[in-house]
Amino acid sequence: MSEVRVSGLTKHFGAVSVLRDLSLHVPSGSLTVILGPSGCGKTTLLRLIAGFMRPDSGTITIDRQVVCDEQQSLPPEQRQLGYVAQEGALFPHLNVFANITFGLPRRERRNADRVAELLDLVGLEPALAQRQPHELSGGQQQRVALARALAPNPRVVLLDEPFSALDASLREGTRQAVAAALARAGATAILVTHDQAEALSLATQVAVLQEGKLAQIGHPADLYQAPTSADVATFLGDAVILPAVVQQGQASCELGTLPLRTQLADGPAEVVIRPEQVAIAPATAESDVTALIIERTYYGKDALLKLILQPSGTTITARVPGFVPALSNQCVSVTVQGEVIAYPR
Amino acid sequence: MLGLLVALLSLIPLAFIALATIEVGWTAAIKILFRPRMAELLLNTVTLLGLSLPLCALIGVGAAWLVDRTTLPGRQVWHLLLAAPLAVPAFVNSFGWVSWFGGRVEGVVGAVAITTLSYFPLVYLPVMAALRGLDPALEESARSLGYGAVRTFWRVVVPQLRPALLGGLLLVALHLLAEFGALELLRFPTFTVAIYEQYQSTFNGPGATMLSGVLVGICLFLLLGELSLRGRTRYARIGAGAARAAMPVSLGAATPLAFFGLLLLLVLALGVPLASLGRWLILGTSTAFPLRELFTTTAHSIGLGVAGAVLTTVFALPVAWLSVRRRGVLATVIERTTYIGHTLPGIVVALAMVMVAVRYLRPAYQTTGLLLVAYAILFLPLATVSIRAALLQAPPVLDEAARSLGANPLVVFWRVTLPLLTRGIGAGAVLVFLSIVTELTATLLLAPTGTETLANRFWSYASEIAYGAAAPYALLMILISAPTTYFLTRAGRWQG
Repeated sequence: MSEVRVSGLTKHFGAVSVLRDLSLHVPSGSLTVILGPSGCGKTTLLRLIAGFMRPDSGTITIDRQVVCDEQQSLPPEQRQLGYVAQEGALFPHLNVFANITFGLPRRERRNADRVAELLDLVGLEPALAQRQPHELSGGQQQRVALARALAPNPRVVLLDEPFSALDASLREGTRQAVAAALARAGATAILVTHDQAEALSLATQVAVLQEGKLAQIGHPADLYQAPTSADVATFLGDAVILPAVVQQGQASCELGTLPLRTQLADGPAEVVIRPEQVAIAPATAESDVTALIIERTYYGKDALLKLILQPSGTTITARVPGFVPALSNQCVSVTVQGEVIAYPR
Repeated sequence: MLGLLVALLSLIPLAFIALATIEVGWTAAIKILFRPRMAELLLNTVTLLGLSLPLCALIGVGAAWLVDRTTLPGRQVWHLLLAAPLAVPAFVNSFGWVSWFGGRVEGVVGAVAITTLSYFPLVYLPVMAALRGLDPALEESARSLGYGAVRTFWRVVVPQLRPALLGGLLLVALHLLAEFGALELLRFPTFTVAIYEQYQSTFNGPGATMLSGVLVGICLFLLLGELSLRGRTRYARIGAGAARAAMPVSLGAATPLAFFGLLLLLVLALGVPLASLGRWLILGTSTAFPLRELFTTTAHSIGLGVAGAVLTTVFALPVAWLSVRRRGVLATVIERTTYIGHTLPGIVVALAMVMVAVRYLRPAYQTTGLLLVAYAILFLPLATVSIRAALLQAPPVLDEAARSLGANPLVVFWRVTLPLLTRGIGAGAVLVFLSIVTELTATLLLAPTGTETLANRFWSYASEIAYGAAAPYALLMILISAPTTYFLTRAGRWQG
């Protein structure tokens, strides 16, 4: 069980600044997901922790051992970290067995029990040990890569977009297997991804990185429901953003007066509403807010509706269960369920 | 640093020729350049290029298309056989024809025919590799847009084969310019032949240097011509996934025609020289099997081949490493520079080495070391290309994975990089070895007195018209080079 502390990390590539004074704490035993759009510096952060690059300034500490600061940098082989690359990076000249035992001391490289145990940990058959990497599916390769990284009992496991090269059909299963294996091994892990659903479903802690800075860090549900800025809110999922006025803990906007999740001083603001909070019903004479459905995109389990509020003409989106009948070009009443968040304008 | 040294070594011949040309002086140079003999050599060289190159292109592309894209039966066998002429050195091929048909094959017709038969596989192989790498979806799209099979081939396939075709033709052209043995036997003097004769008669004369200068000029001209023709267009398959095989064109009633056409080609390119050799081995009055001599010359050839392959590989490693792992202007310049030696005819490189040794490094003259360095300059790219391809298969992410598993850089090289490179290193070394065994001109000029190789001994018998005595040496060379042919048909990307 190990913790990682990053403080004041800065990195430039030429004139481009990739990380700016970044600080981060990865608690022992957590699965911390670094989430951000491409080019936000998340892979650079991982490579700095791994020791493949040196930062311009800042320190990285693993278990109170400073592995790099302005003066010195511990080479990657002495950091005792596990690393899983984007496409696994299994050694093509070695079979699964030899790949997994690569990082073990010489006398332990023949230990078949250990290999079987590791294969079991990542949910693979022991018979795969004699296969060559090219005889495995993409998902199996990633699991072997994780088994290889876990074999020497690393202090922390680093995973660089480990599922992005996989087909959608393999991705979900591989994610679950990897998360389960990391949990069973009790390992501290840092995973980098640009996929919001992946981050929210796997992480015990999500760190959102935007333009080389830490935008927000926290539990997945807190992040999704209470993002600290509209930017983070829209990055984490679809959102309806409307102008509002905050008064006595409530936000008044075109969709009515809505309760706030977090308190905000009175004054002009903008509210963020998730489409799944927007409910529709047949319009009646008593309806406060009505809208016209102009578009319906059907996904099976749910459907995304595009609505035009009457009479203002503002466009909003709503996510409704798939069984709700299509009510195209009909007028419906619109209500917002649950609490919303607002930011001062 | 090491790479830079290797690049400088590759530049020695070119630098020397330039220096020596300047030393000759203007008036003397003009006197040599404007002799009638010069016009004859130039005319012969240009004629040879002008006729053999189109023929090689036609035969190479046509054969590749027939084998890969039509219903012609037995494609695997044809593929092997069509690469096989490379196992017969051109000077052995022309020996086969001349020793059988005598004067009837001498002159321009014989020279064009025999060089074409010897070198068309240099076009066939890259074109074949390119054909196989093409995405059939492109052809299918053309067909669905209303193009017939023939129009699709001309408008869609041929343009994509251009880089492979041009690359192959450049190789043929450079081989034609460098060819000595075959043309000497056919009494068709080109620059290379004339340089050798000059060297034999006057040793260190300005004549040989001037001729070399002109020859190098033509080589560089062709190199630049190929570069500009190739243009900046990139032809690469877009998108991932393995290519499917294209739907073959049905030959129908034309099948026998195609079948016998290819058969005739093989009879002329392989059948005649092999039958001629067999004939001399059985019937020749001068045929003898001096076992002891055959054994020692074979041992010399193999020894030189192995030593040369090792030295070339040692030189190629830093160059390939730089070009893959330390990309940049300097690395590219270094890599490209090492190709110059391969572009220059063996005779020019050998001549330069002789002169440099005689002038500045007397003790090196007539040593095996000098010959090995000349081989390395000549064949460096063969090794670099293979090692480079293997290095590309060993991306840096593997090094990083190994580092994170606790291996220090030395251990990473030993346990990850080197095992991944062994095939590439081996493939490159085999190619260099076989090129050395069948190399004639540099060996003739540089082999220390007493070091008789197969090529050397074959040549001295063949030029004394002791055909029967020469035959066993030719046969041994073919037997040693036959495995490369097989190797070349397996490797898709064997030439830059």
